[in-house]
Amino acid sequence: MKNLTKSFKVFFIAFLALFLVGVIVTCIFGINAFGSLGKGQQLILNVTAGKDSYDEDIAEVKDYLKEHGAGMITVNKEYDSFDKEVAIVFMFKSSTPIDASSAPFDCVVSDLDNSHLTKTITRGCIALGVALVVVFAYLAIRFCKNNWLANSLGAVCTVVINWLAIFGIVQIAGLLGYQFDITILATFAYALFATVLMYVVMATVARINVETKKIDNTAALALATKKLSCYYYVINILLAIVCIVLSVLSVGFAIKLIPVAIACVVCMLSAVYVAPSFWTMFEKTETEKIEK
Amino acid sequence: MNKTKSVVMLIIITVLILFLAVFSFWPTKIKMGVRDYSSPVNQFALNIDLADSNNVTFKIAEDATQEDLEATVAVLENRLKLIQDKLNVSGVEAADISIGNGVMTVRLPKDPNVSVGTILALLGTQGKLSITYGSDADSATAITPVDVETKEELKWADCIKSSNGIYDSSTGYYGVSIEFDDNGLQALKSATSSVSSETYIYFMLDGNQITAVSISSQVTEPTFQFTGSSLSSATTANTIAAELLLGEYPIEVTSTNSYTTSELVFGSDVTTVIYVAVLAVILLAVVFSVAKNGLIGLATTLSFLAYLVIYAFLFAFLPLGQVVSIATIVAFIFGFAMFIFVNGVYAYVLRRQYSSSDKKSFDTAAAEAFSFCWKLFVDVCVVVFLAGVVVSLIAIGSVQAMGIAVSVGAIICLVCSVLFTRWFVKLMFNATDNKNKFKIKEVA
Repeated sequence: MKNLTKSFKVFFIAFLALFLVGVIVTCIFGINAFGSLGKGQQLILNVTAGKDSYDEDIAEVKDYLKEHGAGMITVNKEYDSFDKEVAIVFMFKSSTPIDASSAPFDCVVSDLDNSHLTKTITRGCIALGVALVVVFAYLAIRFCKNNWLANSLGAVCTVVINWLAIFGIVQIAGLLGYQFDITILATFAYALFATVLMYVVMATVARINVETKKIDNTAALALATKKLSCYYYVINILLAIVCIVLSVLSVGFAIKLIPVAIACVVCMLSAVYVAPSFWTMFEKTETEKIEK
Repeated sequence: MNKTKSVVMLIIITVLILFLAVFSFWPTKIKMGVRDYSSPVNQFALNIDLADSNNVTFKIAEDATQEDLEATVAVLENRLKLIQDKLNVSGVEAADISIGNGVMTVRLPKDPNVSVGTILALLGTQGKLSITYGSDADSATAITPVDVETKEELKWADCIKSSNGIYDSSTGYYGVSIEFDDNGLQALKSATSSVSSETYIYFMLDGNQITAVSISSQVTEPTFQFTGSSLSSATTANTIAAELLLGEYPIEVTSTNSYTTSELVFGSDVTTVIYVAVLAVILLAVVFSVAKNGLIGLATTLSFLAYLVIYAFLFAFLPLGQVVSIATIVAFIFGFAMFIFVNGVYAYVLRRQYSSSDKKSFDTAAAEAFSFCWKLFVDVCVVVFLAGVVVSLIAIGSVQAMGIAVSVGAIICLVCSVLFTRWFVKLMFNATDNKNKFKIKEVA
């Protein structure tokens, strides 16, 4: 670890700390998931068709649900074949079961069946794991004669540390009231793709620097990171801003896009401060092995 | 190529790309026979995550076995695929299905061109297809297909190889083309062997007549086509074509309810907001490229526009079962970032090589930059493509769609970077008088 930069140590420890806090939060409060994903409930409020606005009805139900421990609540409207509103559906996850008979309005409460979502999550997680193995295999074979360990294992380690940090942040965000649905898988997929992209570009530009400027790997990598950091910052911050703006505009999107914004920031920081050190660390290890 | 030719070429390319962009991103619908052209943006607007959705619930036997339930879902999924393919409703194949406790619920995108009633009818019917013949429907005789070898009775749904909506441009009528297999053809041949005057063949679904076709001689060909004024639209013809292939549910299924849910995300302006956001990202990315790399940035911008158009067309029309969802939008955004990123690196390397020596020609610098960068293009695109393919093969739902979007984007990124960017940069160089604009000041 003696060759690692101070910034790497700071961010590496910070990412790991986020993960550990996330694990502690999970142990105490359970996995942060929205009603449709975890053990959620659905309240169907029967309404009189033809009213101009149902805002008051919605607010009343939301207040009632929040009093009974509900977190994030999404609202859907049901229409009959004449496009008249006949019911308003609230989906939520509550710490205590809601009893429809004691509610001060005409409603039906039922548990949400999420068995198909469990299958989706399982398959998604397996897919991401296999994709990571494929990325490792491709990079290892592609660079078998040129720092294969730094190029393949470095990428995998960067992806994993990013995933851990995102998991931690998502779990901590649950304490602030943000709950996430199935799109959280897309966030982890985005982190995989973005990290691999940035890592491969960094490693390739470093190689170009070695060839054109006749400098050693470490200097070439530092130069590549310096030149590319502008791209890392601009592209990721831009994407994060778009996600946040969309989230601010609507509660519905907050559930879906805030994690992507988190992933953008995590990937950006890791590309600048974590990935180069991983590359150097594994490159050194390999060089030392060869020397021995 | 001299300056004038380069300028003309650049103008032609820009106009062509903008023209194609209009067809991709402007909500256009053009009548084209049995399958209307609907611009990609129209299809993107119809999806479960972003817009309103149709919900259909069915009552099923509570004591159905797991095997029956799985078979029922298989039939339902086949019907959803038919709705997507025949009625051109994007994203239906990836509808949410939940089943249990005597209720089956399907949530699918709301397409303003196809009523929820049509979808309910296609999904909710038991699916028992029968074919009869005679002079009128009431006295018509049933035709029962049998296996020509084992003489075992078959279902008609198993005897139809394909069924498609067709358009007769000479009469302006729509119709249906059905292809029967040997068993089906044999049954029709035998039943109509004595037909010499006008007789009708009735296609019935659950005892209700779908359509009646007039014949005056024996049916001898496996392909059976009919058109008529009663088939007033492509949707009607395609609906009949779909009805013939629905397949029968193994357990009793009864339609109970259909309703539309509004996601209440941005109200009815959801897609507008998404388009504005994506447009803002693209514009900012373009400004960044131009600010960072000058005229080479402008050339990569042109290549980026070509990339967007090709991406939109391929994603909308490739038959991979892809759908647009929040996850897919994340994939699109990633694709934009990937393109800007790798082309930005190419632009920087090219400028650096050109600036390295005053004696170096631009062609030499471009060749050197490409020799350094083609590995970058290939490595980035291949590794992302492989990861995307793996995700699309193993995952299901929106993450699968994301995998498809990422892998398609990676291939287009590679093609556009290798072919278009280099070409556009060369044209831009030839069209410019001040060659110093292609150099880096710090190096020069």
